Amino acid sequence: MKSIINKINILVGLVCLSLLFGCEDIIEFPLKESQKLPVIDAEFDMYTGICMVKVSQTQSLLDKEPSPVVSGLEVSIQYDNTKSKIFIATEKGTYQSEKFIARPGKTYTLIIKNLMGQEYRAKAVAPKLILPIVKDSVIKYTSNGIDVAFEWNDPQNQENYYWPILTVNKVPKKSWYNITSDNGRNGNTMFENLQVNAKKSDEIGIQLQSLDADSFRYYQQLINLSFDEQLPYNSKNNFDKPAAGVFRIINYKPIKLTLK
Amino acid sequence: MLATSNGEAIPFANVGIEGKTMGASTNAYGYFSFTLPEGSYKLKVSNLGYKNKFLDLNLIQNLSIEIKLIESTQILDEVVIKGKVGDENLSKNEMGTVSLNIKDVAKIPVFLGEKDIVKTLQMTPGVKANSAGGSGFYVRGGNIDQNLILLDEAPIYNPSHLFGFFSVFNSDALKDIKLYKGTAPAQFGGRASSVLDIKMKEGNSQKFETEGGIGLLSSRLSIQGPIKKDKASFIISGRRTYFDILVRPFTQDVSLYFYDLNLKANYKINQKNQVFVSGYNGKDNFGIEGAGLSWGNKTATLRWTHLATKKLFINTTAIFSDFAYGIGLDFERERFKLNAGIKDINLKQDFNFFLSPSQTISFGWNSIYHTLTPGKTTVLDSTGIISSSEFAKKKGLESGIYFSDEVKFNSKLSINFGLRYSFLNNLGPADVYGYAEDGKIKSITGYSNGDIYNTYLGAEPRINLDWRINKKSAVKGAAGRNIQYMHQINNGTAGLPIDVYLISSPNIKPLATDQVSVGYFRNLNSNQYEFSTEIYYKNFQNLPDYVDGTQVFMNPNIEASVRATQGRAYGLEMYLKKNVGKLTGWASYTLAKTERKSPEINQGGWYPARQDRRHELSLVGIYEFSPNYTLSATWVYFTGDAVTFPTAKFNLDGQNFFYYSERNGYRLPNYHRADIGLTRKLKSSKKRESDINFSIYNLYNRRNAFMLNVRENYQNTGNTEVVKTALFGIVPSITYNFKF
Repeated sequence: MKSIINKINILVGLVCLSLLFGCEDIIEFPLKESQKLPVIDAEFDMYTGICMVKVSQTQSLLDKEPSPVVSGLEVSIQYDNTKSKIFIATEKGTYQSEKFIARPGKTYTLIIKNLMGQEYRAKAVAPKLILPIVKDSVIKYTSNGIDVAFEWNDPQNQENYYWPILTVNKVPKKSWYNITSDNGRNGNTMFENLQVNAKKSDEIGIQLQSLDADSFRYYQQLINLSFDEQLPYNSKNNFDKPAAGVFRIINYKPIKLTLK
Repeated sequence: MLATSNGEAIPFANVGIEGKTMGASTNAYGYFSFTLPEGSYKLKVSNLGYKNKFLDLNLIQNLSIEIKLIESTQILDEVVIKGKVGDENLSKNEMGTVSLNIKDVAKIPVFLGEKDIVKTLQMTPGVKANSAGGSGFYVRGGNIDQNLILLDEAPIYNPSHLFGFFSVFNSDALKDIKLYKGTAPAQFGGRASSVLDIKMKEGNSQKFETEGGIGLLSSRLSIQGPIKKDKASFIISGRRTYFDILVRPFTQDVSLYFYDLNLKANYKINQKNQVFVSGYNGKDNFGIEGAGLSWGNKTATLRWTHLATKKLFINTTAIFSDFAYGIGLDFERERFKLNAGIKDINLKQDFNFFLSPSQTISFGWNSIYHTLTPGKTTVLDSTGIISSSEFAKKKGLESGIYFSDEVKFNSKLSINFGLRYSFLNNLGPADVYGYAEDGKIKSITGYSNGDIYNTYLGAEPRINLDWRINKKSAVKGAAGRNIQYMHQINNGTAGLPIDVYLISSPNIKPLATDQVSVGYFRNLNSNQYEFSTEIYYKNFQNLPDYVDGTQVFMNPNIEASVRATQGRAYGLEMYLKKNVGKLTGWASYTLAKTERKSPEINQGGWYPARQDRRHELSLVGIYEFSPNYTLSATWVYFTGDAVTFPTAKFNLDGQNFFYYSERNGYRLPNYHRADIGLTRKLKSSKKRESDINFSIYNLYNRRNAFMLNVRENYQNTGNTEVVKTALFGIVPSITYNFKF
């Protein structure tokens, strides 16, 4: 469904472009400024067992400096009611948990204290592991790189969210626009076709990341996948106080492709 | 009452008795009735665009007469200037209305020479264009879907061609256009803000006539004439653009055109019975490199008018309306097709009982069977799998009964009051979802075909008062309530035809608006000038709005994300019109405020709606400086639309995004534009006439903002810039019109 929505987006974009045969001008316009808010980019990787949290702040629209990071925070993750893991700061504004095993279906609560004088909490449910099915015949070399098609079986009677990613030499090549759900395809075989800029000698892999529902919605809204001419808005995240960013849990098992 | 030139009925004409205070109007179908004691009377008949007519009557028994009025253009210019102009604007018990003379519409300069009634309406007070150059409109703070647009009584759900730059109404096929901005007659219902009642020509019952035009964008042709003189006639009118044909030598990949076809025929069975059949079919097609959008409206109307007694007139109508759109994508690996739309089948009966010359009672009923098709998709993916899915159709029966009474108490005071009682029955088959506050499905209840699973009822009272102060001035007041059960949920401005309609249901309450207005009307210089000013206040309850971030399109659970919000609109409208003379035209000014309120937006406070424009000014002038040359000019100015812009930015995973702190907290730059047109009559004879029209849209090439966009500079990441997109600069056009 996502790829269809994307393609409808392309069509609508073409319509708009064809209409806008006027012109674009960069103009002086008085932009307002709002209070600074925390930006929390938190990811719990169930494959590595590590949760990483990066905290920064929103900036003025005309600010050309890098995002200001926020250090000196107390970060922890709670699960099974009583258990918790304390994070350590690995660099300014970046906090990391020790390795631990998360179980699909369980809820994990991220707690950040002393963040702009407040405590921020976010809950996320660990998603199931889904493995991709890759056939050799659908790996192609093109002038732009490598083209990989693969499929997977979506579990029935539950909502599932995915972020299919190709890795080149173990480095994920993420595209926000590949985030998808099983809406309209529940319980069916799902299909993805990704392209990546790579050489024959590179090591190519697939990560079919399962996402939790809140982070899927957050990213979907952030990149405005829907094309309903909506007013601009802030993506809804899973923090209990106003903030940008999201706490996500991803589950996957990397698959190395054998290229012939 | 009929027009001499073509035998067409004249609606809403004034009929009075000289020396008496009594008077009446013809109804929408040209009928009227008087009851008078035996005696001699002088009947005076008048209507805008026609010469006044006086008839001497010696009444000794019941009398049925056919009155024919001569159009004013058939009279010498001098007579028109010196002749007495009617004061219908003072004497008619109605306010908040706009009537357009189709001949005036033709004289006003417009974009690419396409005369357009909607663009003309947008230059009248209280009516705002939905976007620069767009053919959607807002009336007194209402959304676009709150306008009931009727073409020969059939609703038109999407009145736009070419992504909103042209309306679907081909002026050549139209006879009468009336917009009710406030309290519409009780026979109309189903929309919260306005009624645009458009009647097609019936066809010339006297002689064959062909008219048309050839323009840069499109050509049009209409043929009308008698099937049997004075008994039956027809009109067929078509229009098509040829942009696609013009670009074909350069590319085969682009398809962009629209067409429309209007048909109407009538047959007068006898003096008491007449039947009409009319239809419209219009379609837009846009395709580019394997992707295509198409949309269109189809309507059909079958009407029987019957004079049951000397006092009772009955109009019985069956109506069909179908708005459909489709999206097709044919890419290398995937194919996708979507079809969606809305179909209505409507039956109605209207009764006019002419109780006395000073009292007319109207009553009737109607029932509309709505079928909404949210979307049927077919997907063929690269593995060869074809999957087809269809979101459940929604069905509803919307009905209404009404009664209204127009009473003239004396020469000064008249009252028109009415009550409409509307009903909506949601019909199965359906799976009705109950939602928790967080939007999650709480319950599902299944209903079989024909089951009524929900009913809404609502009373819609309305009243109009007219107090004639003296011969030159009148004070009018109106108040009324309107209820709307059908809602367009995506209120976009780009004119894309992907409308998502919802019908009120257990999850979506009907929208209700209450409006109060007061106006002062004054005519000057023997009615040559009309001046009016109206103030209004309108309150919106249960205005449906979706939660930010909702996927509106192809979302089976869209109802979970729809919230009932509040709205209010108030304003002052002023209108000065010059009706006769070499220079005619009008000036229109609106001072208005339109706000919305939702607990989830802007901390629950009132915020400006997109259509909130504080000032709006339109000037229209038509100058006939010789019998062969007419110069026309318009100038429009309005406050920029309220828009939402970011107030901060943030970085996530190396990519910058914007943060928004308030809805509609900014304004687009103010808009203004001038257009001019020159029409030169070419050599004409009694049988043939033609003219050529030059027009220039956006005369001084003002780069008005169609939209503003905040974005990161592509080359210099981290630099935020505001980009203005302007649509059309100066656009000259030429059109050749002919009639024989």
